[in-house]
This record gives sequence, structure tokens and C-alpha cells, in this order.
Amino acid sequence: MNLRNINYKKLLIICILFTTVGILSVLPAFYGGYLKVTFDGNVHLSRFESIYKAISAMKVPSSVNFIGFNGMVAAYNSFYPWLTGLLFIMPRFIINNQLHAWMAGFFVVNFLTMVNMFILSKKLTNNFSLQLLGTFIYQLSAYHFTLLYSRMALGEALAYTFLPLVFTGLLNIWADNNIGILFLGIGMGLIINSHILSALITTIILAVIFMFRCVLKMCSLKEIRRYIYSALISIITSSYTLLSFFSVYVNNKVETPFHLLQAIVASDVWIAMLNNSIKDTSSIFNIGLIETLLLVILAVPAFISKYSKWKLWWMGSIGIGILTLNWLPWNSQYLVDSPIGSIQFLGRLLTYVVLFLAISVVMFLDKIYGQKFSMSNLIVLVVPLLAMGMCATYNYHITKKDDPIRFYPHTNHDFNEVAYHKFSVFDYQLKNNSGHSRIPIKEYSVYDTKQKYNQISIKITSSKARKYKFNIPIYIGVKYTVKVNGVERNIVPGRMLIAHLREGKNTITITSNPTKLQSIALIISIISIILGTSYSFYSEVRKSNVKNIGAI
Amino acid sequence: MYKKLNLRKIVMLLLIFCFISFLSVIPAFYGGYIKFHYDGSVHISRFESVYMALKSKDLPPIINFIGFSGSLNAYNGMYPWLTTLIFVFPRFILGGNQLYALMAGFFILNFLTMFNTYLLVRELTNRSYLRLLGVFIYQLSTYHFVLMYSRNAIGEALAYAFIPLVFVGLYRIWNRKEKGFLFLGLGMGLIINSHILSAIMITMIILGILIGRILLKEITFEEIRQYFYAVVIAIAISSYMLVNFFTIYLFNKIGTPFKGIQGINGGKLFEVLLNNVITDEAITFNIGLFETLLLFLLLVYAFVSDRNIWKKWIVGAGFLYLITLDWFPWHTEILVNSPLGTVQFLGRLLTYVVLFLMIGVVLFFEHQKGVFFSNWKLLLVTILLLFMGMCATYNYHVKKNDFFVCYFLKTNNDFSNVIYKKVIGSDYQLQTNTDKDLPIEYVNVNKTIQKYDQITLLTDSPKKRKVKYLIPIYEGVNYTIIENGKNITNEVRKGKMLTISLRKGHNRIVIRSKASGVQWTAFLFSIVAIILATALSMRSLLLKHREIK
Repeated sequence: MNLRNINYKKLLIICILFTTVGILSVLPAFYGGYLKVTFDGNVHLSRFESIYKAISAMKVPSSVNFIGFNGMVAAYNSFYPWLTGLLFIMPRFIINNQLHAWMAGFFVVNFLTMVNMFILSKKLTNNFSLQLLGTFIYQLSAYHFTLLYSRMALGEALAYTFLPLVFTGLLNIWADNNIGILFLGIGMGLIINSHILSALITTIILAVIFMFRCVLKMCSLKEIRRYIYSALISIITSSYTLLSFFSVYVNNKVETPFHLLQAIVASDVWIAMLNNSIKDTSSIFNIGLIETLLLVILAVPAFISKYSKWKLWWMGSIGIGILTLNWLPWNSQYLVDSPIGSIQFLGRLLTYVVLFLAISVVMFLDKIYGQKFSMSNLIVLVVPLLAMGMCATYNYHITKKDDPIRFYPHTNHDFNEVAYHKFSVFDYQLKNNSGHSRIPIKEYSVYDTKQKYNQISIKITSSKARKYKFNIPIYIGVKYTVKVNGVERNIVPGRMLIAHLREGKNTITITSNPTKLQSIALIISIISIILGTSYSFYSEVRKSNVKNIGAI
Repeated sequence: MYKKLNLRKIVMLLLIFCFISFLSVIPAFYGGYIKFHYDGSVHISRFESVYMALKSKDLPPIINFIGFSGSLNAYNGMYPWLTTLIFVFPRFILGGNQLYALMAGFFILNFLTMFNTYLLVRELTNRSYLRLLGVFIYQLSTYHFVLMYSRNAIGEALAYAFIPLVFVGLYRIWNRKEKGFLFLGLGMGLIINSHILSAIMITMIILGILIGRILLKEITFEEIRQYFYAVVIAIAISSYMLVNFFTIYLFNKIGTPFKGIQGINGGKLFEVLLNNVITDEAITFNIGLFETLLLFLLLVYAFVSDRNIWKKWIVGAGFLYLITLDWFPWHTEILVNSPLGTVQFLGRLLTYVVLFLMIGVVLFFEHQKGVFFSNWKLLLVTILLLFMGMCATYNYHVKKNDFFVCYFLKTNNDFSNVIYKKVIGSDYQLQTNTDKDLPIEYVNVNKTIQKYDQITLLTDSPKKRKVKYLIPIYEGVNYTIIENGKNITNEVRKGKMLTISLRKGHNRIVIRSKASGVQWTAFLFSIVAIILATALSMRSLLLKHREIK
């Protein structure tokens, strides 16, 4: 370990630069001292609150969520990975003000996105300016701002952060470097720990690339062996998430999120791009005017010049871009009902459009300009990108009531009100909840509940003594303790909670704690993530003996 | 003296054309139906009357007795039908299933389009990939799909298929190659046999080019002689059509189709280009996003690069594209009422935009230094164009309720129902009509018996009275009119709407018309001329090139 080999000066420049851009990418979303929270954002506020509370109590979070979601105790913690969400949660241990903690969380995520993309860009070119260009095309894409602020799809935004690691791994593996195994494994593992659907889409894209390599006979047995090692690493790092997911998914029939194939409407997205809008309407998700023009204009050199490797990435980018458009008959029922329908918004694929665009632009400019591409060239491209991203975010941020469900939390109290009491989606419902139709459903107000990270107490007044059904799924494979008026009751798992109430006031308390296995898996996950990331980052930071592996 | 044939290459080409034709047709028939609106219904009525006549080994009369609500308009006379035989013949082979026959017809149409375009690109380059690029730019243009499926303009689509032949001829003539006049004549003749307006428009365009050549002093006496030969061949080939047309046109005052100059709306065009939509609205006709971008980029390149032969074509395409837009005050009364008004939709010029663009692109890759073209690029462009065309067609095909009159034709029954009962005849009416005070008797299609050469009208009249039918009796056409078993042909005045004295109670009026001897002669002459010209031109393809003088 020779730390003297590290180029500290360059490292410092990079840190300062990324910190500045990170701060600038966050500020407009917090202008005026509030955060604009969407329907989806509400989910994340509630999820993160329950993780925060659990960790505050030095406990592993439960499989089901007692905080938020109208007190309906759904299994968000199991189905929706939260481990990388710690980037948003950890600042709260240092900063008491939730708004500031969120700000810090967003900053960390933006910073990490740039670091990861920079690591990837380093594989593509030796020119520092071009490495930064790749980083900023990815970081400052309008779609990144859409994910972070207007969609508030934080799971996807985290997947966006780690995606470059996956391709760093691939490029290394293709160049016959063993370090690629670690990058690919850690990258995929972190994506699984962020967002299941993103992990699936990434896997499919990797499979397609792999198939292409097989067809072009570029694939070797050694390479396949490395993929398998990577898969093992990613399974280890995501063991907690996978265990939580499958222990509920396998044992229960759970409603999956709705199927939809909402394509991007080409004429609407054009208007949205001209207006520099990042509104969270799924038919206008976009990567921004500048990047779209860049993507389209690259068609000219792609078409008139001879074969070069950047074209493959460009074709991937524009190919996926075309697939997101309404040119294809996506709305046919047949497609929507098929497994493809779980994508819901085809705009989700824009993540890959941006990444491949960044890769192809860097490789293209490296090929035609090489070292001649200078800092001033970089600034000409990056400043407009930053300005447009910040303006789009600001304009979105100050537009109020553009959707019936919007919150503008300011104080800790506002944040708690949203996290604990506001209505949000109720996914992961049990499918066979139609039984016992004779038993009436007892509704209760979320304000009559006391929500803790592992327990909920519901105060209910009943007009007479009888059995009631509650909109609370009792999943098989999750340990519950249910007390009605202080007496522990046996419950039947696999359907909605049924409890016998006495006349007058009642208190139902539901408690659930994680299993030993979950705790062990969580420790394995965390240790492997820490080890994996620190080793891979170390290998990046030190001046590598292996030179730039060139354009793959 | 014959060239050595590369059979493997020819078979490959034919297979590729078949494959692309097939893919160009299926989205319009997905789900086992075809979506036709009013224009499509006109064409299937025309096909039916030709089919029925041929089935009886007869020539269709100049008047259509089948369809058009029994209004006996002269569609057969005024609207060329000879080349529509590619839609009619398959019915004889495919056991009479009309949907399949239509599918086969579209397949042949697409195949012919590619074949003819290939003949043109052969003149432009020797590189196979580049030739195919040209073929696919023309074949897979969104406007081609618009013509065939969303406009149902079958006459124009047929003209679209034969236009490349005209340019084969022109190119050969300009480059002093043999038999140019043959291709030019054949192409023009077939276009006249497909769609009169297209024939007029292409004549105008050729005249425009000739004026250009005269100004640039490129024209030679030999060239003019070749044009003259070509005109003779074109007239020979289209003699049947011309006889029909002029029989009606010269002896009668005909209401021509409405006049209008409908430009393409720039804003709307942009929207449909982005959304890859084909519709029947004249303001949205388009050649597709990729070809528009291609044209635009090449125009920019033409502006910044040195003089090169591809530029003329690109500039020509760009100019025509520009004048299709409604930026110009096309709708002014003076222009609309002028002969220009017969164009109706300026979008019709897109055919030539696509053609010139195609020629320009092929010449660009052939002659521009520093650009490369490869099989991979061909594959990519083809897939993209095909993808866009097929998706646009499919999306149009599955959309319901976008027309007031729209048919989803599945079985022969659906076809017959539309053909015999639904189509409204309105074109080619007589304009002179004096009997203003007579009551109009409307034809009830359910009380008619329609055959290819006669119609029987059944009418109940409450009393004895003289009525006027909205049925033109054209001068120069032989009619036999029988009322209640009595031949009243001589009592009916020609050049007017049919007036008849009905008796009280049931009336049975039979109107019949047969093709005349002149028509038969012209028909046979046309057929022989087409076969000869086709055979000779195909033979000239197999010969080694020789320059004339």
C-alpha cells in the first residue's frame, strides 16, 4: 500500500469541483427553505422515517412499516430496498433539522453520482477535461433532476448513482482486468439495494449486451467466469435485501404494482424540452434539450464516418431512446399485460440513454480531439447544462399545486406530519383478501394511531362487541405480536387482520421484530459493501500501474 | 452481346424485395381486416366492376354500374383502371377472397415499386448496398405508407410505383445511353394508365427540368428526338385510357373534382413527424421524420460543400418540400381557381420530394469525398425506416373512430356490402342540367340489381309522373335503356340527367352499356404495347451498354 503514489492535488481539485456542482445541484430544490414532496416522495419520507427510528434505537428495522402509509402496516421495508437509502438517512444523526438533513442527503447522492461516473469516464479517456465532461453529462442531465426532485423517485435516483460502477466493471472485464469483477458485483449489489425494478432492467440490458458479444464472438469463457463471480458478490452485498424480499414474496400472494406502458409522447416532450420543464408527467420525461440535440447531432458523424466503437454506445443510446417513444404501439393490451408492463413508464429507460450518451460522447471526442479537448471546451458545454438543470429544478420547485398531492414541508413538524399522517400509495397488498366477507371492515383514522418503528397502537371505539376486519395484511413469514386491549391474541397469517373488539374503547397493538436471519444478513451486507467499496475506491485512487484501458 | 447474369445476386434481390414487401403489407392487415375510408371504398368498387367484366370475358363499360349508389358515373372512363389489374388478378387466383386478393395486390404493388426503383438506382451507382439504400428510401418513405394505407390513394400509389421508370428513361437519355425513350415512354404510359393527375404533375416536373436544361444549354437535338419517341410510346400504351377519357371529356361538360390548394401545415407537420403518425388529413402528409432530417442535413451540407452532382437533386427535393408548406398564401382565390387548383393537396408533391431525395442521397454517397457507406449502415437505415413505416401503419390501422366514414373490411360480405350499397358516387357529374322543375327520383341501392354492364332500377310510383334521376347520360356513350320491357333508348336525351316517365305502381328500368369496338381495339392495342415495351426494356437491361452515337 503506497499512499504516496496518490495524486493529491488532482484529488483535491476533483473534490472541490464535485462539491461545488453537488451543492449547486441541490440548492434550487431547497430554495425558500422547503422541499416540494410528491406522491412518491411521501412514500420515501415514511420509509426513511421508520429506518431512522429503528437505527436510532440501535435495532434492525422490521419487515413491515408501522410508520406512515395510513397505519396500514404494509411490507415496504421488505419489498422496497432501503439499504442505500441510508445516504439520505444518515445525515439526520448529525443534523437535527430534517430539511437540512435531506439537503445533505441529496448532496451526498449527487456527489457520489459524480464520483462513480468519474471512475467510469477514467476508463474511456486519458484527457481530464473529457473525463469531467462525461461526469457532468451524466450528473447534470435533466433526467437526473427529474428523478431526484420532480419524480422524487429516490430508489431509482440511487440506482442512477451506482449504475456507472456496473459499466466500469464491464469495461474492466472486457479489458481482461480482474478488478472489473469487484466493480460489477458491487455496482449490481448496490442497485439491488436501491431499486428492484432498476436492477431488473439493468440485468436485461446486460443480457442484451452479452448476447451481442456472443453473436460477434467477442465473448470468452474467462469472461463468463468473471460474470459469475460478480453475480456472487452482488448477491452477498444484497443478501439482506434479497432475504427480506423473498421471505415475504415467496410465502405470500402479493399484489404487484400496476401494469402500464406509458410511452413518451414525442411532440409533447419536444415542447417540454424547449420549455426546459422537468414536470413529473410520465409522457414528457426527458434528458434535456442540450443532451437530446447532442444525441441527435451525433447521428451525422455516426452516419458518414467509418466504424468506431463509440458508435455502438451511441446506437445503444438512441436505440433505447427510440424505444421510449410513442412510435411503437406500446398501449396495446397484449404488451401491457405481459411482464414488460411492469416498467410502467418507458421514460425510466432514459437513465440508460443518458449513460450511454455520456460514454459515446466521451469516446467520440477522445477519438477526434484527444488531448486537444480543453477546459474551455468543457466549460462551454457544462455551464449551460448546469444552468438549465438548476433553472428547471427551480421552476418546478416554486410551482405549487401542479398536482392534487403535493406537500411543502418546512419544519421538522411538517416533515413528521407527512411521514406519519399523510395518505400515500398502498402497494404490496395481499391478493386473497376477499375471504370473510361477512365480517365488516373497521376503518380507523391515522390520527388515532401511535406509530413506532416496530409497533403500532390503534385506538378504536366500537359500538358493540363483535369481530372486525382491518385493512392490515398479515404476511406469512413475518413475526407478529398482536395485543387487543393488552391481551395477546392469536392471528391467522396470509390474510387481513381480524380482531374481536369489545364495546367501547379498544386498543390494538401490533408489534413485529426482524428475525435473527435478517440481522445476520444485514451485517453481511453492510460488511461486504464496506469492504468492496473501500477496496475498489482504493484501487481507483492510487495511481494505477495499469494504464487507461482505452476505448472499449 | 448479352451480359453474364449473376443469378445468385438476382435471386437475393428478389428475396429481399419480397421480404420487405411482405413486411410493408402485414401491419395494414393485422387482425384480419383492412381499414378503408371513402377513397378506399371507391377503389374497391372500381375493382369489382373490372373483376366482374373480366370474369365474363368482357371489357368493362365506360360507366360504372356497380357501386356509387347506382349513380352510373363514368369512373371507368375518367379514372384509369388498367394498372389496377394487379389488385384484380389475384382474386382469380386466390379463390375470390377479397381481403387476400387486396393483400396480394398491395404486395405486388410494393414489389413493383422496389423493382422499378432498383432499375433507377442501377443507373446511379454500381455499389449494391447503395442501390438498396436508394430502393428503401423510396419504398419505405412514410409518404408511401400514407398513399397506400391512410389515404387509400391507390391510383397515386400505382403512379408512385412507375415514376422511377420515367427517371430511368430520363437518366439514360441524358447520359446518352440506349433505349432511354423506351423506359420514359413505358413509365409515362403506365402512369397515365394509373392516375391522370399524377401524369399531369410529372409532365410539369419534366417540363421544369427541361427548361432548366435549355437554360444551361445542356439539351441536344438527339435528346429531343428521344423525348418524341417516348411520347409516341406513352400514347400507344395509354391509348385505351385516352380514348375512354376523351370520349367522355370532349363530348360532355364534366364537373371536375373539386379545386383546392391545401398546403401542409408546418406546425402540425412537426407534431406528426415527431409522433410518427400517418393520417388522411392533407395538412399532415409527410415523408417521415428520418427522411425529413436527412433532407435537412443534406441541404445544410449542400450549402457548405463544393459543387457536386448530388446537390441539384437535393435542392430540388428541398424546394418542392418547401412549396408544399402553407407558408405561402396558396389558398388565395386566384390560385385555387387557376389550373393549379386541380392539385388539391400540395402534399401530393411529396412523391417527387422522396424521389429526388433518394436520387440525391445515392449520388451523395457515390460522389461525395470523405463519406463512407457500408452494409451495416444500410441495415440500420433499413430497419429504422421499416420500423417507422410499420409502426405508423399499425397505429393507424388499430385506431378506430378517426373518420366519419370508415370501414373495417373482413369478409367478402363486408366487401360486397360496401361496394354495392355504401359507396357514394359524386365525381364526373354532368354540369348541364336544364330540367330544373322535374322532381328528383333518388335511387335506392336496395332496389337495384347491379351487374358490371347493366343496372336494374326498381321503383314504385304512386302515380304516373315524369321524374329526373341523378344519373348522367353521357354523350358519346352507347346506352340501352329499357323501361318496363320497352326499349326507350331513342327517347332519352343525351348530355343530361336521365328523365323518365314512370307509370303508376311497379317500374323496372334497365340501363345497359357495352364497351364499343373502338374501345376494344384501343384496349388490345394498349395491352400489346405494354407487353412489347416491357419486354423490350427488360431485354435492354440484359444487353451490354452501348452509347448512342
